[in-house]
Amino acid sequence: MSDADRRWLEELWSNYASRIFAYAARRVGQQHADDVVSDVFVVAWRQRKQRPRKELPWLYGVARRVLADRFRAESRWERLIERAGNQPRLEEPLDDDVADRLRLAAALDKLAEPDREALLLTAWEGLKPSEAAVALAMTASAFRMRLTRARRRFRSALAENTGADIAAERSKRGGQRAK
Amino acid sequence: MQSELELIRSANPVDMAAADEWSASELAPLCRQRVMEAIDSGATVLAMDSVDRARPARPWQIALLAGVVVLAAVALPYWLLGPGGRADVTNRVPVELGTDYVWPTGGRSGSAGDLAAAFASEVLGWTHATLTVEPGIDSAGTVWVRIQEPERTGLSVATTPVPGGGRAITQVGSPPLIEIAAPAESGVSIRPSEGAVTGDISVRLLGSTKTLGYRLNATDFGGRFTTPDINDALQIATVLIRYRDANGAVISAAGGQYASEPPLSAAPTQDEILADGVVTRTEFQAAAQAVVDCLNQMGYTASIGLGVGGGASFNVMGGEDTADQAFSSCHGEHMGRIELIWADQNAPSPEREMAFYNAVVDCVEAQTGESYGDVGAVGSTKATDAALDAAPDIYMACFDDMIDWYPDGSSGG
Repeated sequence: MSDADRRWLEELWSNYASRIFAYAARRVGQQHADDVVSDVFVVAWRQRKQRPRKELPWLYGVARRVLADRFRAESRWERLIERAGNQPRLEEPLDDDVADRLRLAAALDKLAEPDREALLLTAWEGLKPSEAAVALAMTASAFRMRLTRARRRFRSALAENTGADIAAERSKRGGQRAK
Repeated sequence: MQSELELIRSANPVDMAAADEWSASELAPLCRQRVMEAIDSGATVLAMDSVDRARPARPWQIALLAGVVVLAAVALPYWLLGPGGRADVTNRVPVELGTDYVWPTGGRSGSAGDLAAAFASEVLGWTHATLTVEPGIDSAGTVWVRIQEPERTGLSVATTPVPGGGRAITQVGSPPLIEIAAPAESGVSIRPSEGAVTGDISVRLLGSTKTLGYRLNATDFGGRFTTPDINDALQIATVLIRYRDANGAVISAAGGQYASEPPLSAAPTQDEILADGVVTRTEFQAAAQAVVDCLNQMGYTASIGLGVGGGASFNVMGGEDTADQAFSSCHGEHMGRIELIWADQNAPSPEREMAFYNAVVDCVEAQTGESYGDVGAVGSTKATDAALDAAPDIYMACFDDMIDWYPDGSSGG
């Protein structure tokens, strides 16, 4: 590793490791986020010659692919649901805040992955559409179309949420606690 | 009323305070140490075949190689196909490509539909495909055929007449970009494909009788495929990528022909290129290379992605504040007028453009039961606007489903 490469990697780590940790933790939980972060930086290192000028959106794109590769077997959005509230026991009544989070999580769960990721990159990671487009390997105009559609679908899914959806999310979370 | 994004933001399960806490803890340095160790040791964290191939062999790799030499003797024909190589390409083997055409090497007799059916069956392993021949034909006699296999996204292929009779496939779906950068870093940009877990890429170089074949993994998607076998990306004649699901079945494909002549050894000036009023592919590529060279000489790191249809996408790294100005300068000097002529020469035919938008409108009509009329003329947006206004979600879904129909293949979605 040349000195320049090492400096670049250290700067990249210093600037963005915590952002990537947060991204990973939001999706797979803090206990697994460490592993994802280390994989992301190793892959980023190997793809460093291909990096664009703005590195953070590109790094999110790497993280997204690492997560897809690592956790492909887990087809559901369970890890998000697991942390959507305060993990009450099944028999406990839900307070309003937890119920709201479950409702939102259930609506997100109904979306196709590209739509969900478009929303989360914008809402959780705070990326601009042009930046999120880089992370998703799309043109900015295609991303804007997707985001518009995703917002509409999310609103629709939220409106359609039934008590059964909330119970299902609650049940899933309760089941995970029992593991 | 809260916006959708505000609502979602309120459900954020991990805020930055938690991430900052991690950064300040002893866990972050340990994580960083793992990264450095992995890099220093060259260990494979993920399946990164395309990158690892470029690394020199290590002792354990040599031992492993010795252990699989017998297997390799059997497998080699799968990966380096000579003229007499296997034609059975329905399994995980590269497709024997031509230099003048993507598939088959010398063309095949029959109609455009016959050829597309053979391609679907023999190359993609799609045995229940329905075929739709698109209306319109260009000056080269190219006919597009849409292949629809159950439970797969539709795939359009271009078939072109070959000298001596018959047809060959010249484009498959939205072809990848050939990326021209520093020699060891040039390669093929692998566009992601929804649902693809693995894949393979077949490459044929100019003047070569062999097809090179490589496996792709999920982490290759969205990145640039490079290999020491391809020193100069301008030598790439044809490429075919097959995307596979977790079961190994082909779910989509992309490919095209990129070059038919060796690259020019010296870049002509714009005036020299434009003297005859025509821009050839090699001239266009030479001009693009001149822009990259110009930027590199100015201290930037530049690369360019070239599409089969004549699109060019530049990427410039370094000097964020000044890069745009430098690019304008280099591009204006070496390529500006050439690109205009080239784009005009390669504009999609009006028939193809109309076929695309009509197909989108048809798709919306099929799902809504309403009629929005025909697109009618290129540039007319009456029917598409009506469909979009009436059912925006369905319109977007239809648009996405036909992503490989995009005239410039560069939507990237």
